[in-house]
Amino acid sequence: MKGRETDGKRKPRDAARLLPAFGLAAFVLPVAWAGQPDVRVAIYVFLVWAVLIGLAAWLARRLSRGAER
Amino acid sequence: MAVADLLVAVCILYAALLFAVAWFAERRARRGRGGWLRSPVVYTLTLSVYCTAWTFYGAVGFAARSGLDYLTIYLGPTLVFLAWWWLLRKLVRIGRSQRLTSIADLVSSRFGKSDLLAVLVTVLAVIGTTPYIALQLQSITLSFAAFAHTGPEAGGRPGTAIWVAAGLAVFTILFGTRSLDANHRHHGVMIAIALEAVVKLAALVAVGVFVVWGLSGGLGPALDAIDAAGIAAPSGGGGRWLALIFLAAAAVLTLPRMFQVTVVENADERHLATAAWAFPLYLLGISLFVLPIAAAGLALLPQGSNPDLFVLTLPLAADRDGLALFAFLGGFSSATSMIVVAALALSIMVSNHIVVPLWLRFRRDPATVAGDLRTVVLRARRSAIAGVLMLGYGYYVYTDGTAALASIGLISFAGVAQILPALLGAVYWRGATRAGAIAGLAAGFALWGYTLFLPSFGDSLLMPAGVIAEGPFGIAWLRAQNLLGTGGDPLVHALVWSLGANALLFAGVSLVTRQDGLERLQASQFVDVFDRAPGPVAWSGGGAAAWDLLVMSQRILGPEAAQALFRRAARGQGLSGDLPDPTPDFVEMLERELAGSVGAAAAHAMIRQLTGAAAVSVEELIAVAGETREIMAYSSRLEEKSRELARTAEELRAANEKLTQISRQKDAFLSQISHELRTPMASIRAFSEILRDTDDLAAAELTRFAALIHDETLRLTRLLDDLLDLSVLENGRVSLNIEAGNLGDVIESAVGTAVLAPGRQTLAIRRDTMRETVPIETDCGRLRQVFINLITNARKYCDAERPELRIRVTAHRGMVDIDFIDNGSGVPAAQRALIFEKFARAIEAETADAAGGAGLGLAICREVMRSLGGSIGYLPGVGGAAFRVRLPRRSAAIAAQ
Repeated sequence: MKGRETDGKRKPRDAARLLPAFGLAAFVLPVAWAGQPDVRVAIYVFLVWAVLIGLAAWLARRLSRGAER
Repeated sequence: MAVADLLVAVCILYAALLFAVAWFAERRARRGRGGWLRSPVVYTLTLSVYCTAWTFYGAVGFAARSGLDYLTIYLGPTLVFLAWWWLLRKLVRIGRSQRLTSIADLVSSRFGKSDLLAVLVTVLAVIGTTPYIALQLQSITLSFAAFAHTGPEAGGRPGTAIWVAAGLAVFTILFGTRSLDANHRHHGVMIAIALEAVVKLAALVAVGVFVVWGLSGGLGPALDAIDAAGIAAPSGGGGRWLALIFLAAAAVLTLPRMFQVTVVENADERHLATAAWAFPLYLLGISLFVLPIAAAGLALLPQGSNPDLFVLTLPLAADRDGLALFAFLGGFSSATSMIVVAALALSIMVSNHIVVPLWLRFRRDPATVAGDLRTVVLRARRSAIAGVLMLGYGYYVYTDGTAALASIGLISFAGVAQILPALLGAVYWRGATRAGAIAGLAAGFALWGYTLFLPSFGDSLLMPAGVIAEGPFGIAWLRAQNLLGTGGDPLVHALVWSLGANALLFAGVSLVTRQDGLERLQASQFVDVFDRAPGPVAWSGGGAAAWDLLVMSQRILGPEAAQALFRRAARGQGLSGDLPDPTPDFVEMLERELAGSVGAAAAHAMIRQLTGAAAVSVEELIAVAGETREIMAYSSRLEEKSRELARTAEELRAANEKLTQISRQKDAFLSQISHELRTPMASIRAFSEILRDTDDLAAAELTRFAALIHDETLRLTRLLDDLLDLSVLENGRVSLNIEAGNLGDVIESAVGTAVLAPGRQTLAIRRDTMRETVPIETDCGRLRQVFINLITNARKYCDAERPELRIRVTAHRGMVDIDFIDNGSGVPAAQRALIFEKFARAIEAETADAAGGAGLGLAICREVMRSLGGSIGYLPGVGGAAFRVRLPRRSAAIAAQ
């Protein structure tokens, strides 16, 4: 029972640690299109950005509900 | 001209609004009603001071020139804020626990409260920020010019810039230096900044909406226009894209103004949880319409228009003067908010790390010098604000506003990014040393200046064009933008060289140098900030007189605040006066408190002068420093645990012993009870057989045998009754019959019964009937049963020649002790613990056989006394066998439940 509880807190914490790395990986991709202007590149970046913000908001809520470390 | 006047009027009105808002917020906060001033939303909005005029005007220009590259400036900070959980939260926690006042304070404090590092970071910050302030002034001048259609786009009227600079200086001084304590939040400034954040976002979005749906004719055409303009991809190689993301991420951590709003002005760590997504959202909103605006500007405005001003010139060209005015206010907001916060942050750094240490150096003994240090610091801070703004203005005039906005911004970013290795090392690497930090910072700073900052002036006195092109003294491999023959993008080139050398030297020198005691202490407090209690680690400093400390503190904190602080500390130590004992804890706390006003290094130096503890010995510090403390705590936890285990084992062993004994008793009892049952059974069987088989028994004999059978049956019944009685008592289901009576009467009755009962020997009983006259309220029948049992036991077991039993009554408050003492040899010590157990008599089987009885008497007595709220125990050391019955005078009906 206790194990599951700490697990429930650790998972969002790990996710919060990994999120910037995930974001960086997603933002590296436009390098492949450097010098080939296409509005879809911009749309891709903004979409990824929005998804990251959504994930961050969700994680932040999960984390601040958990006890302060 | 009329347009310019209108603009000036709008600016003045807007500034008046900001003053009013700031003043109102300060007043609310002072009255303690400013809860909403500390909300996560306000915190997030103040973070947007990151978006300066460079964003507001420059992003569009950046996009028009280099395509998608402008996004990197916002993607970097987005990644940093996504990392809030392990990065920003730690910074904020450290900032709070160490009462940090600036980024220079953080670096200096971590590396042993080093003055040199503080000065180095301060100088770097001032040099890195000056162009940035110039950039803001330039943007305001440019926007004025664009609006008024006067003169060429570059240049404008320097007069505008100086008025703006002066106005901002007044604002910053008014609201930024009200309190000396830098940890005290600047509510007025922050709320004004938050308001400006809303204005600039709204203005940019308004222009964007107008461009997309007003000028371009909808979303589809706007996207087509972006495609046509060819600005929807990173320019150049991927290296620049990544380098820019990295640079922006570094800058959002190291820019003095960002550190100010993120860490120093943070009111609650939990606000970060909101800012973690809300600030990236703000950045997304600000950069969303940049591409359409840039595309529309490139398509609609005449060739050669300054793309940095598209935000303003597009509405102007479409004759939307109202919208243009709004855009102008947005740009004005972006510029002013940046200048105010940057000036505030820099002034704190300059006063705390340059002015105060110098002042301390020239006044050898700060404790006894008359005067208020506060005025010195505040004056220093005010002059520093004016000085920083004048520097910015000077830079603006000197460069004549030539460089494009974006490139100035990036040069600034690269400058302050030099703090990054030291910052990350400070927070995550316990082994980083002061020497390493100094070496890294100095090298990075020098290389940045050489490869990026100085060449940015173009042909200048400091670095003529010839030197840039040919290298100093014609040495080609020292060319500023082609070190060792490397080349490529000048920014990436400078970044790789300066930050690379910086990080390498920082790590390398840290590995080969040693930390001193204070550094080690601070390192563990920084790196392990989450693992330790907020309290400081104290060491035994020298003996400073509390009075001297108070005198000094008054001059920094002000008399009321200092006296209140000392009073509180005295209360905390349990003293009645106003002066606490200068314990190490107190001195450490005081140093921290002072650090909030003048910075860690200065506070440390001042306290050190007073306490005389010039250097803390390394051994002492190591003893208290983190690792040791943790190990000690851990080992004491282990010791505690092993003691606990030993205790448990001991208890278990005792319990086991008792269980074994009880089990042995039970076995013995079973055999005893079988025996007890068997003997009467045998006689009953024998006599009944005689009765059955013998026909000619005399009447007298018949009667005798029948009587014998009857007696044996009675004996069996008694035994079974006893067993039943005991089981009822033990289960607590006995019902008591509480009545008032006299102890003497009960004893009298018991003695009568016991003495009359058949027995082998006579027992002399000695009593003191006078003392027995004690009124009691209990179940007299049950009590009598106990007494009878004890007297009978004495009769059975007393082995004296002339057996004698003394009954002694002692009355206490609420209790009566009745002792039964005979003159026999008593109960052997080994058996005393067992005689009250059931069947205990079985142990001494030989005597028991002689005495007859199942060994339940004392067990029943114990249960009865327990039910009556009293007790019975063996009384050693009074001669023979002695039992003490303790009885409450009024038995509560305990067992009745």
